[in-house]
Amino acid sequence: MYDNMTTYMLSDSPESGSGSNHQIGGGGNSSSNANSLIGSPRSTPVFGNGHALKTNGGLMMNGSSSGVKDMAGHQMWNNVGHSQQQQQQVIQVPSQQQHHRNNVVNVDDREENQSLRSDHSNSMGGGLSSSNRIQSSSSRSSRHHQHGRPLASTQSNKSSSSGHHRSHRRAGHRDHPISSSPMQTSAVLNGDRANNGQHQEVIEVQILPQDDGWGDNATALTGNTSVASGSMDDVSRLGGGDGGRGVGDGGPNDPAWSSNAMGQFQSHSNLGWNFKCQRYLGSITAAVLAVLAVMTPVAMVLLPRMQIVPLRSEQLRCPAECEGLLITLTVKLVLLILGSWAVFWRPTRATMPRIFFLRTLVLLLVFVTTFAYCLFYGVRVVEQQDQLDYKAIVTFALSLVDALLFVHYAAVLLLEIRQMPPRYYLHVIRSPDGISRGYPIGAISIQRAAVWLLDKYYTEFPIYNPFLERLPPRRSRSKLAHSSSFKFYDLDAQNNHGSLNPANARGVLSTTSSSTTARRNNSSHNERFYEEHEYERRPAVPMDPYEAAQAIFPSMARPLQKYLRITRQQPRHTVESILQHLAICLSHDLSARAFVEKFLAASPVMQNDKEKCPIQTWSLVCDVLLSRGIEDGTVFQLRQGDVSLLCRISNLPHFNITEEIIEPKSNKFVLRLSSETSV
Amino acid sequence: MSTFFHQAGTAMECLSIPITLHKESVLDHEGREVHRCGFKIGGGIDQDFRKSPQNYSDNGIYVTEVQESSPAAKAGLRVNDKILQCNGYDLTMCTHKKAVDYIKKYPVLNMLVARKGVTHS
Repeated sequence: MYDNMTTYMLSDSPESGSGSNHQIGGGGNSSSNANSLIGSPRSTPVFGNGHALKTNGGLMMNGSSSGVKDMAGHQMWNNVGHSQQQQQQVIQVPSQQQHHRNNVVNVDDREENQSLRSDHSNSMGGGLSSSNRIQSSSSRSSRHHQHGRPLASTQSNKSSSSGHHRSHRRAGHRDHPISSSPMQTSAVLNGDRANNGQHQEVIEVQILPQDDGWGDNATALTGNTSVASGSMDDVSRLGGGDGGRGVGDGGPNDPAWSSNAMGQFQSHSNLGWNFKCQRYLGSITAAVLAVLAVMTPVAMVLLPRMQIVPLRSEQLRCPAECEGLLITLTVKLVLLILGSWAVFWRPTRATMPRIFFLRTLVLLLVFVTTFAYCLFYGVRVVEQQDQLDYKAIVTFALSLVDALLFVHYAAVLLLEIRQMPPRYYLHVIRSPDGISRGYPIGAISIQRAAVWLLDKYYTEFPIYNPFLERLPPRRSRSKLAHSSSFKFYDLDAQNNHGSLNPANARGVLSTTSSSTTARRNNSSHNERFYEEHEYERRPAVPMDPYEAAQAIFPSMARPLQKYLRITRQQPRHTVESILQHLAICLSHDLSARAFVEKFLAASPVMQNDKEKCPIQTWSLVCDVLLSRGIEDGTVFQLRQGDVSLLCRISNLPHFNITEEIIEPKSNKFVLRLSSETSV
Repeated sequence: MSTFFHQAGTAMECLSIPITLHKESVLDHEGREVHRCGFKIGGGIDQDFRKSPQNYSDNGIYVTEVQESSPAAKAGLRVNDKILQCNGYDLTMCTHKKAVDYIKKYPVLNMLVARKGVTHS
């Protein structure tokens, strides 16, 4: 036996002299733990020994015997299967031969003393569920040496869950119990550096409090938790909830407007029957109608031939003229089908709540035309069977096809062309992060404008990052920390504040151990409480948005005006306009960033309220006659007051796309490990 | 020993062996006439000498193989020689490809070569 080897036991009761396992008390007991540890000399000797924590027969942790390793390796204490249990570690340390190693490590450990512990306590949360970490620093056993200071530094933790134990080495502090929260006790054993010549073992066996809250931080966030912007749930509810309201049928072969463009969430549970019905109703109706319309002239022509309409054979004669008409009929039908397919045959992009007026109009026209023609056909054929001749029927069918072609033309104009020339300027702000864009837009209905805008949104807006919303508070806190001290180990603070100062302990445990940070954290916590209290004290008068804006405005007027002055935007924004803007933002529950966007985003020009007058005069300057077409090299200038816009036209290059075939077989790679070249 | 632990770009002074190599004309596999030296080189400032199988110690150009009865063998080039200079081109600070280009350029090579154990002790 080595003479300086002692059995170390960490326990919460003074009578823990035996080597058996004891439960270490949980949070409530931890302070008593410290007391008992400090109070009982027997249990305080702590042994520092580098990596070499030797366990003999007497050493055990509850249920962790599987994890106990030999001296040579790292100590990993597995708490498998013991959740919610505290562990006691009994460690036996031969220190003699570890002497030098201890010293070396002691030096290191001392420097990283606090941070090591605190880092571990924080970083443990990163992925491990840390169970008991028992840390203690030890010096020579007081039994054998006079100079050993019997201060045990332990930090007991609350209940543990399964995970790793870590044993850290840490040189003890002199005589100072480390301040601790109620959750933890810490006592410092002095690893006596002055006694370099003597052997000191420093075992770090540290019980650190379990920070159970960390797990919550690490979990994934659910979708969009901001109140201000709509979440996917809202959108899906929107899509499904109004099923059945819209009829909207499209053009001859419908397409564009009845499927849902709002994303894959639509396919989820709450959109069952109703939504599918609505989504496909439009296209199916349109398709059916289109097919009917196309088949009608064909039927008109074929029915007499098939003797469904009884006609005499001489009536069915078809001379050259009639044949010509038949050919024309065929060609026009083909053109009609081709045109419909080209323009209207596409998957529906959106399901809209209200009827798509123009599309309905077109379909109605188609229906009415076809119906009228059928009606007349029926009447004529039934009534005047004897006087009919085939040529008349063919002419009739041909006129139907002509009519349909014109309806198709009107459909193209109404549905596609009418909205193309821009007439309005659409400005869109995204709420939580205040990103905005502007687009020119033509004359379309509100719901179609919404769909059009969503197309642009999905292809042009930057990604919304909800995590960016959360960073600022942390950043400011860490900025505080960094500004005050960068890795500042506040040993003095511990000296000053003695033991059980909760604020300090928190400071110790946080990533930087500046006590000022801890104090700041503390006070900020209180501040918020008082602020909330104040708000509650105010009389709750319901105000309309403008009044609310007026109430809020003074509190932010100063910084806002400062900013505007610095960026020289002051003339652009009058107080009245700011209030109006604020009122709108409030009434639509936008975030602060969205409100501020108006002052941050300098573009586009239309955003400037002063530019929104009905008539803007610009003068056009050009060398060439203005009514000529633009060509490569055309230069013209637009002037308005101080502002002038110089425009240059250049050709887009002609693209020569060539085909290049890369044989997959020849696309092989050889890994050359040593690059030698023969010359 | 700094010859073989040379930091590319720094000045170096060392003894070297001058070797004159006359290339021979051979026909390659496609029938074209090429000048052949008969050795292989490795190394260069763009290579990582730590990965070399011959455990070279710096980024210079080394001879990794000399074929039998080749002009290189006849000229006295040996394996693991470090080529310091070739026809006036400095090979202690060039890339592998450049070294190959320089060597292939002329039909007669006047090289300065450092050899362990010979040019220095």
